[in-house]
Amino acid sequence: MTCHECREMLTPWVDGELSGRDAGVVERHLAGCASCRHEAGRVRGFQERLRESFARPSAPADLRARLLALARGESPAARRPPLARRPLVYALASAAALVAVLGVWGMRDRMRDQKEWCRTFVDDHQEGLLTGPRLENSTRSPEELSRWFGETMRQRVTVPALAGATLLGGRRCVLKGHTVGLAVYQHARSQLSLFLTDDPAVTPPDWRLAAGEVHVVREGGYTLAAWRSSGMLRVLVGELPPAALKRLIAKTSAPPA
Amino acid sequence: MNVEGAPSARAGFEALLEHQLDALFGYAVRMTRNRQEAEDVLQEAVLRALTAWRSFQPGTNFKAWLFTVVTNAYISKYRRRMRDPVRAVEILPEDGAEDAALDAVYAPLLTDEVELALRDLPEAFRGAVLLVDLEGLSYRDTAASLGVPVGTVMSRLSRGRAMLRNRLTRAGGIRRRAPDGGAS
Repeated sequence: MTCHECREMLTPWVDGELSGRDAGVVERHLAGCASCRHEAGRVRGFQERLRESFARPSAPADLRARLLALARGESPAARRPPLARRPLVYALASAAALVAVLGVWGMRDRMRDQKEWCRTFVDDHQEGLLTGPRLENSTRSPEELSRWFGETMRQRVTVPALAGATLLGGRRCVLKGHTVGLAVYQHARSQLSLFLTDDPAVTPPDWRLAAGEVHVVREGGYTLAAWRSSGMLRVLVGELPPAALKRLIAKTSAPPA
Repeated sequence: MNVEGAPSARAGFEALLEHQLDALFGYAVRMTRNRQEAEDVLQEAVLRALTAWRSFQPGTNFKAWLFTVVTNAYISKYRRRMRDPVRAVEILPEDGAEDAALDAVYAPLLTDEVELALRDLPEAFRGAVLLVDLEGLSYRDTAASLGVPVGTVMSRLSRGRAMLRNRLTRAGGIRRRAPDGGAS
């Protein structure tokens, strides 16, 4: 064995990953070669210091509790309260001005939240297109999928039948710490993702969303439509133009009882 | 499809998971370099693991299997996103809020030479180094977790360690960590 060959094998040797035979060859070379022995010492020394130097953080208590609750099949625990916002340091002339400023401040935060939520929904939809729909439940029946969501998510989630689209199935997904239901449909040659949740902390794209209203936006090349129905938020993402998506939603059958 | 399974089977899953939680947390945080994403990845991974639990073969390495599930959740959720360099600082608490307990968790990950060097490693090398050097998984289990051949693990490992060694040697070597967690 040449010194070059030995050095190539030093790392797996130090890691204990060589077969008995290969390890024997390396050790025989090291027995007769001071310079390779020296290099082996350096490699081993660095490895040991590296392993000892890693921090080993403990998972924060509330995350730990949430993960173990999920593992028990329970509904996710309430989200950690939002971190305190920076206090306002405006000098204000009047109470009316105070109200106006607070209103704008609140709205700016909400709009930033909503943009982030839009991106989150679209990213998850796009992921499904790239990797193929990963379904936990491949039922074609909206009623059965609704029941399954009820059992596994402990949320009252009703899955609609979409006109002109076939339900492929669904799964739970975690977006920004919230577990929401996802139903995937095949429509013509593309896929639609329908996110469903009754969790009020999931922000719709338009905070003025009233009953019966459908809000449609374009985000990242996809069309996103959001509406509320039976106390549940629904967000549909697909490649259809906005008008087509709205027509599809308008023709949606009533949710199963 | 009944995801829940028999109560006794699920109880085994929770106990085994609990034992690995801190390690999985460290892995997720270092791979995503973002608190919220790390939490999402972990929650998604637990859901997937629970679903797949019935097909888990007893006697195989549960720890390696969990790391596989977390790696897959990470890849599917975040690897395809364009990396925004600004996101590297999102690991900090938002808005400078005071939360001593959380600060204690994240501080070593932010300030430690080795952690900083690790964070700057290309993702492929970082994954290999974390699984072999931090978690002590074998080359074979690491290959399974990352979904690559063993030869690829060896090459990523050797390049990742070389990058770390170069950077840390220039910075004056690795300070030995004191038992209480502080660097000496």
